[in-house]
Amino acid sequence: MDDASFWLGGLTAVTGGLMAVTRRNAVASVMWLVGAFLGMSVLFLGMDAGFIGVIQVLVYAGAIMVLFLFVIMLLKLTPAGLARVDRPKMTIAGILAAGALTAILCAVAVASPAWTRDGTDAAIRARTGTLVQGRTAAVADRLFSDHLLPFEITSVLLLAAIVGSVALTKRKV
Amino acid sequence: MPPVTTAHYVMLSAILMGVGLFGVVTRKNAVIVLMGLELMLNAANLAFVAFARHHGNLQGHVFTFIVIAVAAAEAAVALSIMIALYRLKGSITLDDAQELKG
Amino acid sequence: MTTTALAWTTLLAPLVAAALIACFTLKHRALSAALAVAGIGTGLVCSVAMAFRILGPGDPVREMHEFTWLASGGVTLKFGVLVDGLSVLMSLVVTGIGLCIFVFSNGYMKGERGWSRYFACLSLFAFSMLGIVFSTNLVETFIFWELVGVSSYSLIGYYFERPSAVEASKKAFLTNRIGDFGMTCGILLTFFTLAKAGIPGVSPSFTFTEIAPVFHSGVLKPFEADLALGAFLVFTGAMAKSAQVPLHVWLPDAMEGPTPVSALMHAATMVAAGVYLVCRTYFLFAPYEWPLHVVAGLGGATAFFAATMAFTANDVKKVLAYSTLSQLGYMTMALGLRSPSAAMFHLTTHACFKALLFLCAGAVIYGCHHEQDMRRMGGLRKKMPVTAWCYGIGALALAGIAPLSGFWSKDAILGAASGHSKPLYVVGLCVAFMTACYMGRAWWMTFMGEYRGGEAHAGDAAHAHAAPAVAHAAPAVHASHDPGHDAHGHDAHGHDAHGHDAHGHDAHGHDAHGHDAHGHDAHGHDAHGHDDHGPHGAHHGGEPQEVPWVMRGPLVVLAALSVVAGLLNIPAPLAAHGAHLEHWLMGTAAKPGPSWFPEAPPEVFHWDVAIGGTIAALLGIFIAWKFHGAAKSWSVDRFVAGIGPVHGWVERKWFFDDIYLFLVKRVQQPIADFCGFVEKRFLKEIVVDGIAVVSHWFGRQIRLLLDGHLHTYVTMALIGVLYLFVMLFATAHAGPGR
Repeated sequence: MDDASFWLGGLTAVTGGLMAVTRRNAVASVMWLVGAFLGMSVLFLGMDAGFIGVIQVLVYAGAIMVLFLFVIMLLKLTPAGLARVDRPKMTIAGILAAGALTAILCAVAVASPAWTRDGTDAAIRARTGTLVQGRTAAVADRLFSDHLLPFEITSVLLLAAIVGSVALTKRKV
Repeated sequence: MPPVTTAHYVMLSAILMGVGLFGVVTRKNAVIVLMGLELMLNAANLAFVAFARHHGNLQGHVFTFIVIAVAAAEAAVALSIMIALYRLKGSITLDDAQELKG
Repeated sequence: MTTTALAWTTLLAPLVAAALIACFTLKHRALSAALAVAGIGTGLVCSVAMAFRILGPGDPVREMHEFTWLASGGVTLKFGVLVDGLSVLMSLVVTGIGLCIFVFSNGYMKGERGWSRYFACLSLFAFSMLGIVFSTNLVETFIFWELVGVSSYSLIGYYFERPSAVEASKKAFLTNRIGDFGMTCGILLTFFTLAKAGIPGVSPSFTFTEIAPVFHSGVLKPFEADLALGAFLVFTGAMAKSAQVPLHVWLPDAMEGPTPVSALMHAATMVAAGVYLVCRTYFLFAPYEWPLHVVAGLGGATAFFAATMAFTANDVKKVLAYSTLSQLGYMTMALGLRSPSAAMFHLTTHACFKALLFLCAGAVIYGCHHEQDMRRMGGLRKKMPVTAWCYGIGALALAGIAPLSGFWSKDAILGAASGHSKPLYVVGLCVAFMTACYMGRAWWMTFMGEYRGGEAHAGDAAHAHAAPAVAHAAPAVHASHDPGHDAHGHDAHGHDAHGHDAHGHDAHGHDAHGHDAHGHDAHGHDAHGHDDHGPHGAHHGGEPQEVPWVMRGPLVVLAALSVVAGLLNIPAPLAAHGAHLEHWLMGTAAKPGPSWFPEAPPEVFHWDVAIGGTIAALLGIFIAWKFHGAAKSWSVDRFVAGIGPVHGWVERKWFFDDIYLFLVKRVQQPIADFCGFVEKRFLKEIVVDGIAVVSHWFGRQIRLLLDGHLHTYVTMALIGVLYLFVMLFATAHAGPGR
């Protein structure tokens, strides 16, 4: 594992994410989120997942976030703060639950020797014989052989999404 | 500093998930809620890739690829809904969309 | 056609007629009437055909056709027809008398609204009764029993725009329900006692042919108490339908229906059903003593009390109603005296002459323009000769004058009474005397003397034809009847002294509420307005006149039947082959009759009984003549004064209605109030409302979660996920073995 890329990417992603969900201005949020996604991309590349890292930038930071920007600008949204605290109990419960979930997951990760002791590069290589290289050819090999059906279904899903978006946004005629 | 292990990635993934959840729970702007959702999806992707590496195969990559595609579709539809909502209500504040009827 | 097919045809023809009328011909009066008459006529033809096959000098024949209707667990309900002497005789009565009444109705109901409804209900009534007649088992009987109740309800309440008719139909229905409840209990008690008995080879059943031999065989001795009670409970059903004390109160009020309906109900169908039921199920009664004693006692009491009540009635129909009650008491008494064939014989003859009398009364009412008060009649013998003659024949038959049919049947009952129970014999003679007396009174008031009606129409054309040339000022308004003005002697037997209150009693239903509100006086005859039901403009006002032939025809037929019906059962010394009817019903000693009547000595003619009965009847007629005949040698007023309070008791109908009213108001109402209180305060406000409040509270709490806020939902989902995680790790750590 590339320790530097983990710390760099992780820090970027968490910072970007935190900033994104706390900005009053939606455009600022989008920009921070783009930053977070770039950090994610660094993380993927650090894990030798080149293909995913690239489409992370292309699809997320590029396409999806641009779509977000378009919509935000289209709707002329005024800056909006955190949710009005008209149901404080529910909001606090949500925050506590989110924190608890995070804590539990972290605790599980720390407490699991399979992920700590056997999670280093050396241990993984010793156990699996290799460190997988998520290059385009390799991923495509898997995608078009064993996972062809989910891939095709995904294309149908995308088609449905296109049709749905058009139908939803079309003005009534 | 100890070497980075799978547990680190899992923890990072959990933190990102928590950040995304925080956004979803606290914000009332639908666009930002959606961004929180995207962040959560990314956290899951991170875990997938980490596990793929941990287990020495590419299944996690394939899964991540599909999740990204689904996320794209979801974002497209969700944003369309927001546009429709905006036309209907004049805002995309979630508090304004609570009648449970059209 | 087989005999059972004939029976099915007889049974279903009126139903088909009723259905066709109800579905298709409600708008076509002539077609409706034709259908109804055709239905009952078909029944009569088939009944006659059956009679030729079943009734004869040879051994009794019984044929049965039965199919399974419902089979559930250990209980099988069947449906079918049972053809034997008893059912054929009864179906002849129902269809024969019924046909006369149906034809008569064509004239009587002329111009009434709801003509088709009337004929549909009439056909349904006939169908229900025939169902009881041909029924093969207790459950089928009960079903048709209820149908008779329903159709009688619809006919008694025929003039449903008149409150008194509605009250009367309600009263009839509810009173019958009391009896029906007892009957249900009786049927079930009998059935389950049989099931409990568990005698080998005897499966519990409702079918007469299956259970009657068991009762006869005597194997049921250990269960005597239960079965005797069951028999008595079955009799309570008959008690209500055949109007025995104390469930007789509905019958006088049932006069609110059209007169032909009264005729049908009192002669052939409804009230006959009770007597028929006991005859049909006589095997239930025969082995036991006390139920039959109760039956006989109640019969005697009914006969006596009803006869006394007939004296105070001034309504031409009501006299006949009480007379029916009294005669039904006779029949019931005969049943209790172990002489069901005498009861059936009297039922048959009574059906003939009582139908005749009622139709005559109908003709009189029709001829007098819907006047029902006998005090405003009189002298109709000259104006309506055919009706008068027929009424005379019917009255003599009812009084039991030889050789008319009533003599023979009454003699059979009195003979049975003299053999079994001297007190009941004395009661029977008293009733015979009173019957002759009140029928004489009715005869003289209605048909003899001078016409006293018509003054009510004084405003219009009454004076033009100057009916009775005497000036009548007072009777013009009934309620202000003034004895001082009575130039030619009103039949002032008591109603002067008491005013019209007494009459109000007769006319009005004694339900719990409204009794006080109406008051007794308000329900005089005028209040009813017997003229107001239907467009009678064509014959409204003017002289009484003879009725058209469509009504006279049935009268003549029934009069002929009333004369000859006695031939059915003329007993041994007088007839060569002995009593036919008895033979048909009872069979021979070697082969028990199809109705499982008990062994009894054959009916013989008792000269002493016959002479006693005739003397009683003649005495009654003589006394009636003394009081009401032309001479009026004895004064009713003096007599009334002489007997003191008794007259009041009779006028109040021996307080039966008052007792019921008291029971309803002072006993039932408090109980109902208490139940109502419990229901309202406890059941409703605590239990029902409590459940609602709790659910509502929970609903409100849960609704808070479903407020439409996306955040809430997300939070809930998140908490759910957390819960799953916790459970996952908890179970993972708790059970490593898993």
